[in-house]
Amino acid sequence: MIEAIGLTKQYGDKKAVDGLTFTVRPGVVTGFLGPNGAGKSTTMRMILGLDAPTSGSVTVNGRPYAKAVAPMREVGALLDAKAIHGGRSAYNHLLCLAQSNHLPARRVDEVLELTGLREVAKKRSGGFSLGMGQRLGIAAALLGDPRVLMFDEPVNGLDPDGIRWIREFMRRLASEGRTVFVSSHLMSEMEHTADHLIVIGRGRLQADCSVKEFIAHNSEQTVTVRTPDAMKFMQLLAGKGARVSNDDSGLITVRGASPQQIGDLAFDNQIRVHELAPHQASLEEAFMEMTKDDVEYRAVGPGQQGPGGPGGPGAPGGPQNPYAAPGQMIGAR
Amino acid sequence: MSTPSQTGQPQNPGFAQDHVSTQPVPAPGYGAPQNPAFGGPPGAPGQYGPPGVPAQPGQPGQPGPYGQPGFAPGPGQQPAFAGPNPFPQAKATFGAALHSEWTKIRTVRSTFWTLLITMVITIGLGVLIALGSSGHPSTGGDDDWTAISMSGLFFGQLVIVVFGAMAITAEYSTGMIRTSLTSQPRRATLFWAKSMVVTLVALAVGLICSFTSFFIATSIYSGHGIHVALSDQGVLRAVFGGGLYMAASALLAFGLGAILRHTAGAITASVGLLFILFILVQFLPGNWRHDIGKWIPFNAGLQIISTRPQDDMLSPWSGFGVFLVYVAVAVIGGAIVMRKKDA
Repeated sequence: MIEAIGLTKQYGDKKAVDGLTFTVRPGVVTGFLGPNGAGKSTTMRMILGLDAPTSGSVTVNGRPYAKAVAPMREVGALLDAKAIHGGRSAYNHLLCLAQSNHLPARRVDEVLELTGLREVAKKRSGGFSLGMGQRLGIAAALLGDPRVLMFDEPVNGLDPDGIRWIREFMRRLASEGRTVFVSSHLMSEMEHTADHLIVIGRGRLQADCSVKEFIAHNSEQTVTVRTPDAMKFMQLLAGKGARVSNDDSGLITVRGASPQQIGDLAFDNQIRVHELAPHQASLEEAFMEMTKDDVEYRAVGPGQQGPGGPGGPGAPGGPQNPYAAPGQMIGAR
Repeated sequence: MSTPSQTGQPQNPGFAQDHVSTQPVPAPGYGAPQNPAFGGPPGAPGQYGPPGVPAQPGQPGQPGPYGQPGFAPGPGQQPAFAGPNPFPQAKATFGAALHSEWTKIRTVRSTFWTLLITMVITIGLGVLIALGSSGHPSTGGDDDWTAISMSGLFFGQLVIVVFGAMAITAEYSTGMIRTSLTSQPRRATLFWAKSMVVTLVALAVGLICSFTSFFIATSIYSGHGIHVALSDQGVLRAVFGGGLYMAASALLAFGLGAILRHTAGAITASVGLLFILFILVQFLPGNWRHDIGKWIPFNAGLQIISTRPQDDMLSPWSGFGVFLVYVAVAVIGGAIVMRKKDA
């Protein structure tokens, strides 16, 4: 369990992280999402005490990380696969880390085995490929059999096998009841790995919800409809405020109405529908949509327009932050 | 037909009105379903979830509000991390940090090479100088043969500062410091454990250098009828002091390394403080040189290897004490930077 309260990091007059409050819970893989420079790495570094927050606080399993009796039992972190002395062998690298927490040396052999590095244990880690370096970082994170695991961009440099390995690995760690907090800029990867999302933009919390909820909220569902009465149905749909377009083949694309509403409307008007298919956006599309909103939101400025203001249906998101349902999703306050 | 700006007004019963409302997901559909048989259960968002999103046990249909994990393995919402503690003895103590730092220092090649070169240069040059001097004793007969036997320290200290500096700067240049501080986030513990290991290793190497130099030199001296023994007045202190001086030099560089976090910078600063300052002082006008000269680190610190009192210099222990003040300033400065500055 990681709990951040008002976490803020200021560099000069720029706030890299701005009042982040969130909780990362055990038992699920929590994805940490945000564009480059959003403050993901800085946040992770503050969790570990590598960077001191300008204000706010963060605890791991109920206390500041630096107060942990055996830090490696609490958190295993892979922030940067290159954060190793390349002159040291994989074994010795892990050994000196294990010793710092009074962990038995046999544990080093176990994690080497677990990450498939046994063969290269005696080799200097400086000669490792990016993928092997990543595995070594994961091995180090696992040394203390920790309750919380943090990975910053863990699939970087891994081949497809490696990516699947770490994906399944993270899910297994979570299913064992551990807290797994993983950042990535690869949306498709997150979509496959994470259950819950914490999304930040410009250092601020943008969303704290499940992956499904995030997609549902940040992307407009489109529905394609095929009907012999295309023109008539389009007019009916438009009359209800939906936005419709069609292509040459007669396929209608509807925005702003659910499949249910569309089906009901067709039924009520006795229009034959041959095809009715909802299309859900991917996480990546939802993310792009959200970051766009973020920019729009900032351009208008907070507090200028409340809910019910002139943010019409043509401007989903608009100035009113769609993630700002109190106590549900915390938007830019 | 309504326009978007009219939505929300009562005369417009369109979809859009509902669409804008920011319902918490899962939204209970857009208005009451008129034909439940058609649309399936209202408000089951995610039923069109993208392929590949794994099934979420415990979740389907459950209106998992935001902020709660929608994925609940097992019956509980937050399963405790079960299982017995496999490492009951795990504790990040100072002793553990010492153990770890010792492993760190002995498992990199730079340690071996810097210390080997330190010994070769210190002992080798010391022996050469002893050879040369013993053949040509000064006319006054007041040569400090003990100090001459350890002349190699002047040069060896240039190498041992590399060892001292790199013990900490390599952590920064490689990025290892972030891994180290993740396993031991108490920075003071890490810093003092590391400084202690550096000091002890440098002391051991320094003592090997000073005693070996001394014993080889005395065997050379005896061939020239010069007799110096450890039991002579001040000699044991001087030879032991040679080792102390090396350890203190390494620690000085370690402190500067912790402040600067940069290998080349730390080595340059150390050499500057020890050597360049010494050379600069030689260019000062006479009485200034006299007043300032004895306080600079090099002159003050090396009094510890002297067995002949020099009236323009500090006494051996007070001189070494002054040197330790310089070292303490660097190390405490390093400790403060370590504590305050982001890693």
